[in-house]
Amino acid sequence: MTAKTSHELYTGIGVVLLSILGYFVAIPAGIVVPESVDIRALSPDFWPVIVVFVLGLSGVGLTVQGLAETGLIGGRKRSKDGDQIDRRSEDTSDEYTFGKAALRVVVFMVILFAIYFAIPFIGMVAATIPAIMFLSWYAGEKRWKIIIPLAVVLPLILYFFFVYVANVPIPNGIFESIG
Amino acid sequence: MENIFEAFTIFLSVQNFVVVLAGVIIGTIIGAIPGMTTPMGVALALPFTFSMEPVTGILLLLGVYKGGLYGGSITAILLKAPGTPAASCTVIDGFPMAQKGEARRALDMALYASCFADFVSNLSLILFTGFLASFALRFGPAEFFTLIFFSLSIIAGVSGDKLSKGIISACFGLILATVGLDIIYGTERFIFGEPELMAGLNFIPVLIGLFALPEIIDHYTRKNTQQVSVGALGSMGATLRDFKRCFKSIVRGSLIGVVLGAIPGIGGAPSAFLSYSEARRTSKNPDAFGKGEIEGVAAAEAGNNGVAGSTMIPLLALGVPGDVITAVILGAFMIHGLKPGPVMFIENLPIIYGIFMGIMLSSAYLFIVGKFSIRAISRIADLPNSLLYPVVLVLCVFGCYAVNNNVFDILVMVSMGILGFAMLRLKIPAAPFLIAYILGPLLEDSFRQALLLSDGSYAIFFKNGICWTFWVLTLLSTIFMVRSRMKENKNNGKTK
Repeated sequence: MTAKTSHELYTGIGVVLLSILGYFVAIPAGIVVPESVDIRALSPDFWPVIVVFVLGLSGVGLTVQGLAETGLIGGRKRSKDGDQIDRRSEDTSDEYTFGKAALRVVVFMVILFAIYFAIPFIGMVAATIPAIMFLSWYAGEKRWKIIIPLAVVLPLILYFFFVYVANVPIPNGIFESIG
Repeated sequence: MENIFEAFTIFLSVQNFVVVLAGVIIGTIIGAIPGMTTPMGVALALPFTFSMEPVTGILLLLGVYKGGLYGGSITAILLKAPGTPAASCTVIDGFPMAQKGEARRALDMALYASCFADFVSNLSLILFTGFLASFALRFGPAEFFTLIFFSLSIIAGVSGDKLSKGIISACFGLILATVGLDIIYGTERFIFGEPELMAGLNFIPVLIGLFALPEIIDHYTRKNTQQVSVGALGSMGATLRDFKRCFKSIVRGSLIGVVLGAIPGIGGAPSAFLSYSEARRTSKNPDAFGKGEIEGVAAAEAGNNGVAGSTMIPLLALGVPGDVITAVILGAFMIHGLKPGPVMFIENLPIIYGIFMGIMLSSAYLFIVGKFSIRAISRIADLPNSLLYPVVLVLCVFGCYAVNNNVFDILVMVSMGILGFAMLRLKIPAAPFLIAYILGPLLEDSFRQALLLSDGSYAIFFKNGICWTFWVLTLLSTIFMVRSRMKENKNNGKTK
């Protein structure tokens, strides 16, 4: 079983599970169906049920494709050469190892959520300035004489555009009196 | 006549002239940066249009779109790194020309072919949209349901290598589109007690989250190995003789682009490749193709840019997007309180004429920008990603907030970014998600309205020739796309 085909298989199974979860949990818990519904097709849950059903079918289709490609059904297992070509076609030469890449994604997410939670307190400009600095440095940029002016000037330009040109009140948090 | 006069008064403003130029420049720059996509550029530009008049805002986005289509060819020729999928065909002969020191000649020809094809495509838009819209005035909810159902079949065309993944992506989009209050009964759907979700999820945070954030997140999982450097452009440009020699291929490519662009779901890449293969097939010197033949560049670019205007035909006439970028532009229309489709031709005809005028202007600007700023724009490909992506992230944050002055939209963007990144890693395409997210409510509403009219009888969806035509078209387009996909897979298998 190649990395790619097992990937398809697991994605298919995951989608099927998701559709089952949607049908039995999310739709009953998330959609309020009034008792006065006369025509079933007009019910608020009619459309989501159809979509979840199609989702499940597509998940089954992908699972079957994954199984066929691994040779578990249909006898279409790829040749050794084919597998090698497959692996080569997915260029992962510039990627970090899985653990390091996952850690970097987590760090990036933390920054995103930090911006989100910081905005009501310190405002959008003050929240994004350190974010640009850190993310530029984290992406490998070491020229601070470019990073710092960029990190300060860009949010300020955007602030002035939205506030004074587009008339969108950008939150300033504790700096409200300055804004 | 009165409408045309009014359109002139809407269009003839300094702001429109400046904004279209800015859009073309921004689009060309975005297209020229490997890793930045045209949908991403249009998505990032969208929040900046809120304060503009509807026509001005739409024209800015169209400028970005057209500039992006052309900009993709710059890095395709100079770096062998197509900025857009459609520009990958330009690589075949463009890059060998650059290697021979004829980059300037290739870029000039790409520009001439792009502008010519864009102009032809715009003419087709102006000539055919009105006819189609007047026909669509006969449509009721049942006809619209079948039309939108047909439009959803375009998902097959943007599904990447596996159709099932495209459908999965579309289902996610359809489900997400149901969040909010039910339009008939007013009951809650997937709100889970969160009042911010009552009006549903805003289009822009979903769009930015899906198209911009995943690329940025993905960048952080890769080592900073960007070492591209734009080589010399060369001094010799394309001559009139070159243009005359390629003219037949340019005209043919433009027409191929117009026809394929008007069909939902086909897009620029197949058009570019078909135009290229036709040019090669009919050439007296087919062996030169692939080795730096200028006619190959001309044919690819004409096919690619020939779709630019005609993809707007189904959008303006019927209110259905032909591809992911027109889906974004449809969202922009809605944000500005306009609903493209036949009714718009009755209620807002001057706005449509104003847009036509701006589109023609964008063709002229494309030529000017390409001719005089090619050297500067080509240098932008050197911009390090380590600075580019944090900048894009901040644009995303400000843009999402500006939609409703609501921090919650930033959370939506972040959540969609996480989902988009997961989809990127699982190779589930994002384009079907967005198309389904936009078309989903239209599909469901027309479905339910039709059933209300018919007292629940499904026969309403088969009541006349228009409905049947769309059912047959859906079937035919699905068969065609599945067959061409199977053929493609078979060819790929043989290559391996």
